[in-house]
Amino acid sequence: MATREAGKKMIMLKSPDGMEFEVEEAVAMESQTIRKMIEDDCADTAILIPNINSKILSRVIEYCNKHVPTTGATGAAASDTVAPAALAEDLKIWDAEFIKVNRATRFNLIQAASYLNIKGLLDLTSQTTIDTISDNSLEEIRSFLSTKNDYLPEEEQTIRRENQWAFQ
Amino acid sequence: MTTEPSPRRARVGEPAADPLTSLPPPLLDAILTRLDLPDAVRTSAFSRAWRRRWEALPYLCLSFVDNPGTAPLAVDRVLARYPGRISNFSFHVDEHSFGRVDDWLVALCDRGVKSINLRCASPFILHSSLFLCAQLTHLKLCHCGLPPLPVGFTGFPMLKDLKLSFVEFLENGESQLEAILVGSPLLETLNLHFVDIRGNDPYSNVWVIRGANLRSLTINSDFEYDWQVKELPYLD
Repeated sequence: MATREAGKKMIMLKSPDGMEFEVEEAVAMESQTIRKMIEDDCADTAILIPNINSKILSRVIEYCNKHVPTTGATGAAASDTVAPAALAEDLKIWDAEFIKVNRATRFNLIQAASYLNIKGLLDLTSQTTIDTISDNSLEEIRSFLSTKNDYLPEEEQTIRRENQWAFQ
Repeated sequence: MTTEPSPRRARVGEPAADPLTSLPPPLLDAILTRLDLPDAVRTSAFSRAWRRRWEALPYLCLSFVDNPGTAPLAVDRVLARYPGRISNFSFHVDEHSFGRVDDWLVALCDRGVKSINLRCASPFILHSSLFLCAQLTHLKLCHCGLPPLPVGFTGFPMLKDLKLSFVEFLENGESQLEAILVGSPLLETLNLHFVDIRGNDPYSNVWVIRGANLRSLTINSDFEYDWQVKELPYLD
């Protein structure tokens, strides 16, 4: 482990609220946005991540840390000892726990994943939201979105009637 | 001046945006296009702000093939309300819907459809506008009759996957299938499962399967057709 640690290149990420996070380059490059900055040599000192506060950024880094491939130049050992299917299963369980966050955090994570272009995190956060819409009643979804049903009863009936097949 | 709020007052005033509609529109599009079609349409009932949101999605996937009993009215409603691109259309055509399929194919052709999967309950002749869906990448037909190629058929320049099962070519099947293959230069998978290609032209009963990109070719047939297989450099 010690030799692996020594060879790692680190990158400094700064959130707009002034926090700094030192992360491995490989972890930061889970974000295609940051990868591009690094590849374009725009990452000499620290990278300022706009619009993503330190609380969310630390969660994003946590996600990237977990998801950074363990094979390849920076770390060769993991896949030799653990089968890929078991790794994938482990990640799935970890993701399910990771996304158990309150609504505000979830939507902040969606925006962060989109800005930083982290496909796995965007998939995870989007799918969780899709599941919320698919698995809940209209009332439950409205409550989740804190949105008021501002339809008149007859209007809502018309909408339901127009697309009755979708409401069955 | 104060007035009693009446139910009608709900009509005025901007509703507060919820955390989903507050997302940048392209991001919200990316999320909502993951929804199944009924769930996407159901969003219209959330609130006024959501009333027409699903109609603004960049594309929709109309997949009903797993629901054989789907009322054709559902497709009619979506096509009438939704002006955008239909990426994928799959439907189980039965006696209740076969009268609508012609209109749908014409509409799908205009909507840049990329994938069509039609299963017919009984042999039913499709509209020739199927052949004008130039954006198609996947075409899967089961128990359908195919009309002659229309004037102006320029092939399926994007088609990668063609699967025909129990499909009957009404006229000159050999030359018609050959023209489709010639017009589909990107085709990678060709699956002909008990396809009736017997044509009416006695002079055109030798046909050639060519495919510069064809990787998989499967033919099941009861008949001995005079097919020749040529120029298939990538076949596995």
